[in-house]
Amino acid sequence: MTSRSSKKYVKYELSYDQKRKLLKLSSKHNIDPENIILIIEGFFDEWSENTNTIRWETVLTYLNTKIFEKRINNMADEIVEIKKKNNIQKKMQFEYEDDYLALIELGKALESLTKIGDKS
Amino acid sequence: MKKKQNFYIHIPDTISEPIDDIEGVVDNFLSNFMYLEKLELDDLTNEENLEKEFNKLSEEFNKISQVYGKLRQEYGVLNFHGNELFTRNTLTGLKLGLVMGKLEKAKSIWGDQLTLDYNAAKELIQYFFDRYLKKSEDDD
Repeated sequence: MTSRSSKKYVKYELSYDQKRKLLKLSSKHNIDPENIILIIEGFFDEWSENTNTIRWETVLTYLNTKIFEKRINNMADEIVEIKKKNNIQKKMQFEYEDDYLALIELGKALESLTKIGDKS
Repeated sequence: MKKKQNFYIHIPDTISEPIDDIEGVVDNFLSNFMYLEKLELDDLTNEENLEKEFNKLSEEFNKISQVYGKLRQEYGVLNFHGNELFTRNTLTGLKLGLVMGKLEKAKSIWGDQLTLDYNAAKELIQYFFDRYLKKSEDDD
């Protein structure tokens, strides 16, 4: 930031979609939109000192790596949850089968009784 | 949008000049601002390592996606089968309710001569009623 005065800047205006995105991120992460812009400008400033060694593709690779890390972690969490759900389902199905047998049994017992009942 | 507010990003011209798709870069930086915040330039100096890491992670991601996919599929099958069993029990239980009606009638005629434990039967039917007919309101 200190060298801002000696540098030349292009003033880039966010497009409508980018503005919407910014405001969405701002409320999602509970951070002022101006602060998000400061973070981005801060990075641009640092990067501008090293444009000859750091290519855009490198930055992109780094960010994609971070995205993958996050997705992998999320997925690992979800896998734990699904496994739990599947185990519960399996357990329930045993119970359903037991219930069914009990229902059939009871049905038979009742049927035979009501037959006697109908005769009278 | 409550007011018309414009946002600007100051981009050093040493960056804006070599990059053709500034809009794309800004798009990406917006989505990933939380990573930019923690990013040190030192993290970017070893391009080769970064690519290795990226390849490793994308492989890992593919693997875990497959595991995830299989489990989701298993869940789908289990859930479907579970619903079928549940429906079957519900329908069977409903029929039982009708038979129970007949039993009431039989009991009024035969009374104590019934060998079946009437109360136990009633309790059992109540259990099925609670489990299969009330369930949909309580659970999931």
